[in-house]
Amino acid sequence: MVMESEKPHKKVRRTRSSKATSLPVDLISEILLRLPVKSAVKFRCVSKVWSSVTTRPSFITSFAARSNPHLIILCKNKAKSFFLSIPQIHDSDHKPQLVDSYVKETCSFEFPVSVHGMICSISISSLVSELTLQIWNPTMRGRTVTLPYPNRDWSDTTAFLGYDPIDGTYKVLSMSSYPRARGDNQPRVLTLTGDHKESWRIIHEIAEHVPYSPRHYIINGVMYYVASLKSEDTDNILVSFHVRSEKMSIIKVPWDQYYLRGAKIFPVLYHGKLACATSQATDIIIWLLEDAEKHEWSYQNFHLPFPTYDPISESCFHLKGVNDAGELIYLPNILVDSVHILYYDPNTDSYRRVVVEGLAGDQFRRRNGIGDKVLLFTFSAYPSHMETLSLCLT
Amino acid sequence: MSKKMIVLKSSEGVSFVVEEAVARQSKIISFLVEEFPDRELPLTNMTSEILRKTIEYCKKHVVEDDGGGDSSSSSSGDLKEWDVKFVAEIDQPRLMDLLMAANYLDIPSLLDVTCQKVADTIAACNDEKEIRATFNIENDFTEEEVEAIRMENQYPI
Repeated sequence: MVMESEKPHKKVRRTRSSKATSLPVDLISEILLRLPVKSAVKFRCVSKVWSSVTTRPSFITSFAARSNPHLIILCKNKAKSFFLSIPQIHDSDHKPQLVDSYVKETCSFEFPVSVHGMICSISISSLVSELTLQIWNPTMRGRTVTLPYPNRDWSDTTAFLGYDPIDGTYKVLSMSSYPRARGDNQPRVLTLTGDHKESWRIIHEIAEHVPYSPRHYIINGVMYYVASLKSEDTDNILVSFHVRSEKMSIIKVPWDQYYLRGAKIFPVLYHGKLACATSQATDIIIWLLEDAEKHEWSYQNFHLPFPTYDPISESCFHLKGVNDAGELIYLPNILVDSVHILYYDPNTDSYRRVVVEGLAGDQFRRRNGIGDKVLLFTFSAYPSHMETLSLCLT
Repeated sequence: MSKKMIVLKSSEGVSFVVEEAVARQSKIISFLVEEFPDRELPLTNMTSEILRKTIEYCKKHVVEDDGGGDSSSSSSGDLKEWDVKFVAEIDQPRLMDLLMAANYLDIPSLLDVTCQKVADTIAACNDEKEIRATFNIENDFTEEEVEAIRMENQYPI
């Protein structure tokens, strides 16, 4: 409920009756907030008032808060990455369907994560054939900002995007992901200021470590990722990074990387607590962090209630992501016309099936110039992608 | 027990007798009723037509508390459908007046449906020219400026 004290009452200006169709100036922002994202962008050129309203930071924040969350599926063929966007909320009136797709030259990252509507990726620039670090807003197609590279001496680099909801700022945490790297490998952090004067700050108060994969998870403004310590590169650790204060810490983990044989580990929220999930065939293991300071974990084992080969869709399913409700997202390895998505909820030990008709079908292929026979491999799924008008950055 | 009634007066001086519970959906009226009980409330910037429409909306949306918990005359699905029909039947000039009335009287749900209706009208326009014509907006950009904004915000399908 909007409280009276928060919402000053404006006197209604009596408009001349012939001009009654004009939009009341006080309410332009209220109205434009309710536009679909495409219209909000496209119609910036209506007038100076519209342009200034829709580029105001407070408007951009409110707009993002109103946006419906999307599930993004990242798939690849040889040359390109495709981001397929599906509204997350569906009912009898709203069938799950492809609403948008974005194409990007293949990034070296397999799992770029959408953080508050933005995606961070490291890719080979075709122009100068060197690695570039970019922040990209898929909603605002053309909007890609190239950041200074953290350290050219790093042969392999990982970058994680974070968002501080209090200041409304994005930050990138980056480090070398080459285990045998010499020299200065301390992680660095950069705040996106938008004036292209960003510079990296070194974080000293943390042991050198190498990220295990470019996948990270953010809960309540804290970023978590699995890594291994530089000094003993076989054992995993969980690293936390508080986006606002930039405090980092290491949590010891109970699993043995050797035992997992390279299985992907997903930080996930389970019963309101941070947990790490991994899946081998139909076995799921969840380690629940009981006490971060004491490095205490508990352990639970689940058995998937469906086979990894699904006879209904005739495809093999693999764990590709987790959503905010803690459901594990299973996707087929190859995307076809109608795609089945299985969500397994360890909290209730049940699953649901969502069928997206025509996801990677003719229309999508034609629009993106992909032949019928070209295979599209599923890489990852990330939920809660929001549509933001943020340019972050200009 | 008879329900408490209050009187609202339009700009033309027409009086409308309304159940207090109905009128209290407006936070402004709610406040005024507390401050000035038993007085006729003059709404000098609202025509009878718009006031009647606003009351019609509030009557539909009133939630009566009869002691046995909240009970509304309609389910939320029905209400949504009713809202869509309600704003669909109003022409644009009156929609603008109703929008301003909702803002002035502070009726958040009515403000939401009217704003959404205007937003839908905007989204249905093909280009910025159509929007300017529909809402009497003066183009204060030069052609070069429009082109620059368009380049910056290109949205290829």
